[in-house]
Amino acid sequence: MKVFHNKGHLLFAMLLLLFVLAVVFSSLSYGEKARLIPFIVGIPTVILLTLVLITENYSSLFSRFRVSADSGITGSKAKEHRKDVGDRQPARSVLAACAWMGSFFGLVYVVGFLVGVPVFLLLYFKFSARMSWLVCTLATVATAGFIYGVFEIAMKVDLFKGIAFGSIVPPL
Amino acid sequence: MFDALVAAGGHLASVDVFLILMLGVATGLVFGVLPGLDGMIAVCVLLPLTYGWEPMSAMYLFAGVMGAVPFAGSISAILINAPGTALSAASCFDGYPMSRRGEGAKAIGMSAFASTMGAIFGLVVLIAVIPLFRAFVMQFGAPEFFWLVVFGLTSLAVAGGGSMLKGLAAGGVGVLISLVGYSYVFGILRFNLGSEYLWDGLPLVPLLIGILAISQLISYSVKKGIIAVERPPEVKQVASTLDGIKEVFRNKRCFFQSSGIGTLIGMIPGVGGAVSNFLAYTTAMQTSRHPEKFGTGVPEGLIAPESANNATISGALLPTVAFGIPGSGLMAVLLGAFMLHGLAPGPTLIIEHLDIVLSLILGILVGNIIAGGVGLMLARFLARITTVNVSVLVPILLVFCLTGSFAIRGNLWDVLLSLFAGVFGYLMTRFGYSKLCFIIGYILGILAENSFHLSLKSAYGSYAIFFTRPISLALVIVIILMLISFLLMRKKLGTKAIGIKRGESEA
Repeated sequence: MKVFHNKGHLLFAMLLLLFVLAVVFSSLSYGEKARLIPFIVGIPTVILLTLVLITENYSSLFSRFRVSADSGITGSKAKEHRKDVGDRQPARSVLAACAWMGSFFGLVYVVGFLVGVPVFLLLYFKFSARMSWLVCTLATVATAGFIYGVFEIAMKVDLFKGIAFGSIVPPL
Repeated sequence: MFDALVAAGGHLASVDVFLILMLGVATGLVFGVLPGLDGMIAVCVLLPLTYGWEPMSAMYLFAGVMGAVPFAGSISAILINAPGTALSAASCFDGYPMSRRGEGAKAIGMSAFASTMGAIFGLVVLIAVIPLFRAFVMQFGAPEFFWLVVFGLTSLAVAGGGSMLKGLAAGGVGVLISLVGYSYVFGILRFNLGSEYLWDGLPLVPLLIGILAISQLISYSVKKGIIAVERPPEVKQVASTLDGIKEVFRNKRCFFQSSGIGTLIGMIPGVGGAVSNFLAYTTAMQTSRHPEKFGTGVPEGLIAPESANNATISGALLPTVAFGIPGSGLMAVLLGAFMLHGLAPGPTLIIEHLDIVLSLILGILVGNIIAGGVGLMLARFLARITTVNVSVLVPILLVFCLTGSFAIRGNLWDVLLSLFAGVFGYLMTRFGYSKLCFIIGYILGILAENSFHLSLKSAYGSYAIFFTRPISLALVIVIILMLISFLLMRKKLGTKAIGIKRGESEA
C-alpha cells in the first residue's frame, strides 16, 4: 500500500513538473524580456521537482523492497491487507467529497444559487449527514436564509440565476 | 505618526467599527476553536464580504479575527487537548493537565490574560519600531524588492517545516501561476491558453478560498465524524479565573521573556506562531527553577506559549506592512486582503497609508481585549463547537465559501476555480507541499517580476545592480547563509538520528 501512496506522490510531482515544463516551453514564444522571469523561476523549479521525483521514486523502491521482505519474514500479509483497505478509504472519501462539491457547481450552473443552495444543503444533510427530514429542513432553511440575507440583501450581490432561468454564462 | 495614531484611535470610537470588530472577534472565536480551521481560513471566508467596504472597515474586521484566533485556539487546547490552531499547540502541555485537575477556569483566565498582555506587548513594540522601519524602507529600491521576495520564499521553505525542496518548488509554481494573463509591463498576454477568463490572470480571492478553505473542507469530509471527541469539562468558577489572571503577574519574568520571543519570531518571515509557542515553552522550561514539573500543569507552561503566540501576530505584522513580505500564513492572506482593497503591499503601505496600518494594529489590540473577555465568559460553550459533526459543518461552510467566491466578480467560473484550487490544495497538503509557499509565490510573483525588470531598466540592462547595492548584497548573503545553515543543520540532525537509531538497535 505504501507503494500505492508513493505512486500518488510521484503522480502529483509529475503533474507539477509537466505544468512547469509546459510554462517554460510556451514562454519560448514570447519576447526576450517577457520570458526572462518564467525562465529564471521555471528552470530551477523543474530541477527542484526532478529532485523531488528522484527522492520520491527512491523511497518508493525502498518501501517496495521493505514490504516484500516484511511479508516474507514475519508473515504479516493480513496486517498489510488491512492497511491497504484503510488507506484506500481516504481516496474513496476524497472522490465522494469532490463529487458533492462538483454537484453543487452543477446545480448552481443549471438552477442558480437561489434554488441550488437549498437543494444541495437538503440533499447533503439527508444523505451525507444522515439527519432526520425535520432537522434537514430546518438546517437548510436557516443556512439558505442566511446566505440569501448576507449576499442578496446585505451585499446586494446579484446571485447567478442558472441557465434554466435564462442567466448567461460568461465566456471561459 | 502621532496624528495617524490619533485618527486611527478616533475611528475605533464609532459604533459601526465596534460592531465590525465584534463580528470579526465572533468569527475568530468560532474558527479558532475548531481544530483545522484557523485565522487564515476565517479571513479568507470573510474576504468576499468586505468587497466594496472602506479599506479601514475591512481591516477592523480582520483585526477582530486576528485578535481572537490565538486565544480561541487555546480554549480547545486547554479544555479538550485539541489545539484549535497551530499557534496554541504548546498550550496543551500544561493547560490540559490543569483542566483535568479541575483548574480549567484558572487556566482559561491565565490564557486570556497572558494572550491579551502578550498582544499588547507585541503591538507596543510594533508601534515603537514602525518609525525606524519607515526610514529604513525608504532605502529599498527595485533590486532590493526582488531579493526580498526571494528571501521571503526561501525563509518560508526553510523554516516552514516539511521538505525544503517541495516548499521551494511550490513557491516556484505559485510565481509561475501569477504570471498568467495580460502583462502590463510588456503589453502581451501570457499563458492564457486562449481563454478569456484568464486575461486578468487567476483571481486572488477565489484561489485563496479554494487553496485554504475548500481544501480543509475536503480534509474534514475525508475524516468524517466529530472534530474532537472529548466533551469540555465544567468551567464556571469566577474566583479561579481571577486567580489565573493573578498568576500572570506572579510570573512576570516568564511573560516578558515569552512575549519578547514571540515578537521577534513573528518578525521573521515564514516562521510564525507554530514555532514561537514551542520555543517560548522550551525556553520557559530551561529557565525555570523547576523544569521537571513542566507538562504536569504548571502556570509557566501555559503563560509562555500564550503570551508568545499573540505577540507573534503583532510581530508578523511588521514585515507584512513594511516590506509586503508576510510573516505567517495569516499575514499572507492579509496581503491578499490589502490587494483586494486596492492597497499595494510593501513600503507604500506604511508611508502612504499609515492610518490604515495603525487602525489594524489598534483593531487587533481591542480585538484581543474583547476576545479575552468574551472568551472567558463563553469558553465552555465555544469548546462545545468542536463536538459538532463535520457533516453538518462542511456543507454550510462550502456553500458560504463558494457563494462568496462568486460574489467578488459575479463570474460563475470563479466558483469552479475555487473547487479546482481546493482539490489542488488538498493534494498539496497530502503530498507535503507547502500551500503557504505557493500562496506567497502567487501573491508576490508579479511584484518580483516588476522589480526585476525595473532594476534592469534602471541599470541599462546590467545584472550587476542585483549584487552591487549594499542592501541587495546583504540580502543575497543572508539567503545563501540561510540555505547553507539549513543544509548543515539537517545533515547534523540526520547524523544524530542515525546515531540514535543505531544505539537503539545495538542495545
